[in-house]
Amino acid sequence: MGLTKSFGDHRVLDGVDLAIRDGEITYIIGTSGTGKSVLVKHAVGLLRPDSGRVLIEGTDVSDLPERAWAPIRRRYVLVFQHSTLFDSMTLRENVALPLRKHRGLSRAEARERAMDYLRLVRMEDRADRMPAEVGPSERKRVAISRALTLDPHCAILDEPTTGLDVIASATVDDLIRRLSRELGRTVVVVSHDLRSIFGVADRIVFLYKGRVWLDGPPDVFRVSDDPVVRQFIQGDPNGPIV
Amino acid sequence: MKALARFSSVPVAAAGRTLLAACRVVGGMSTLQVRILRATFSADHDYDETLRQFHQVGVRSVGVVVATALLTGAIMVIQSGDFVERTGATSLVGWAAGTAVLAEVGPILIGLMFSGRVGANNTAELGAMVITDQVDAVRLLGLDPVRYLAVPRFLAMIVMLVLLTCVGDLFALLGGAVTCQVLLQIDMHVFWQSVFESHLLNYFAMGLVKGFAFGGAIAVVSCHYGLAVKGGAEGLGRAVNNSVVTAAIAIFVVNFVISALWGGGG
Repeated sequence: MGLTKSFGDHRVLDGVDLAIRDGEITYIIGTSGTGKSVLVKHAVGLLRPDSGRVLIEGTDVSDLPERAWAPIRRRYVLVFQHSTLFDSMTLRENVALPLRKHRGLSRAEARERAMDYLRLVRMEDRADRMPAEVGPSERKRVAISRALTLDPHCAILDEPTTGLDVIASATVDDLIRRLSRELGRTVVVVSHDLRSIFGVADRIVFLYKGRVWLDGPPDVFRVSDDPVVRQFIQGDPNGPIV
Repeated sequence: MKALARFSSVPVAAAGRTLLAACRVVGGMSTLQVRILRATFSADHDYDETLRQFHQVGVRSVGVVVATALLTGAIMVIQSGDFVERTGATSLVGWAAGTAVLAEVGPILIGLMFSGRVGANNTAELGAMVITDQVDAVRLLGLDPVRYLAVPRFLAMIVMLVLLTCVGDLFALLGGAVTCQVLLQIDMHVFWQSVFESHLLNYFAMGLVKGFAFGGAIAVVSCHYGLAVKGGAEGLGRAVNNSVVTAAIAIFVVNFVISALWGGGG
């Protein structure tokens, strides 16, 4: 609520008001540098707002100390754009880590259970490879499955299809749909991949100039005559967005 | 602002900035050390990561430590050779080389080699994890980076540097014995007899205490610089450089303190 955040003299967020609704797939979109990733990092305590409040399930978490964030981060997981799998572990060990640490499973039990999560993202046949031995799409899917081991209420995915080819993007889109429809998770996706946005989103939040410029279902964006929104959707180099 | 800019160019301001930077480093390391110690004595350890670190830190360092120790022992005997030849005091060759190797030169050289290999690698690994958001990923999995990343490294470096000091002592004496036989033409039995009759156990113990302390210092320094990396590849290079230099200084300071407290008699 009324979230502001600056880095040096550059104000990235300038009073963002946004409420995420349970069970929906919400896409946060906007041009590069509009603060999409900055906004979602506030939701998991990686950044603190300069002013405004972050409310999670009605509780103000804006000033929580680092230690208090651990249980929140198990319910609200963020998967980074660059997957951030641990280089020194196999894919299966990456997924098994939170199972060992938070569910009290032994190493063997966690490794076995990890296969179930890898099956969810169709990566079970490459479980024992190192992250460097698979492609970016596979790494992103494994990162999502690792986050799912925490049994989160909400998954926040930062640009999950950026840099992927069309087929790989469609695979990730399919996974996002399954997260919501089959597993009942709330999903927030940061993206500027229009094909993915209009193919998957229940709701779209368009950030511009550090604020929520337009918020609504995809149809609202399709018929919008706002020049900023039209330029973004049409990918037109000429217009109010510079 | 202009007045401030002018002021910042004067030497006093530069000295002030340097002092503040040094205070930040010392403060950061002290805070990290307290957090590591607190987490070390708690029950929740990641044994998988700790074992991985034991292997990475210890087993892979054996080769370089053995090579360093063999040459150190040999050099100590060569240095004492001139005195032994002039005085004919062959029975002192083991005492001279053994004392220097076990109490001072051995732990310091092994510590410096360990710092260059393991400490630098640790800073680079943690720094790369920071740059690629893997440390934030640890936090996002509800884990404490100090508990999960720094504590296993701290334990591994302490335990392994003590063990490597033992191995190094053995090979240094071996290097000394062979050098005695080959270069000084003194029977190596004389060397070993001299070592055992000199009652060097106290020096050996001092060396192990130094290994323990050096391991802790290298761990804290390398973890601090690794976890504090800022500014991409350039920042990572700077962090590794600072880590190696600071660890070397820490080794000499710790060595001085332990030697002074232990006493010259060993």
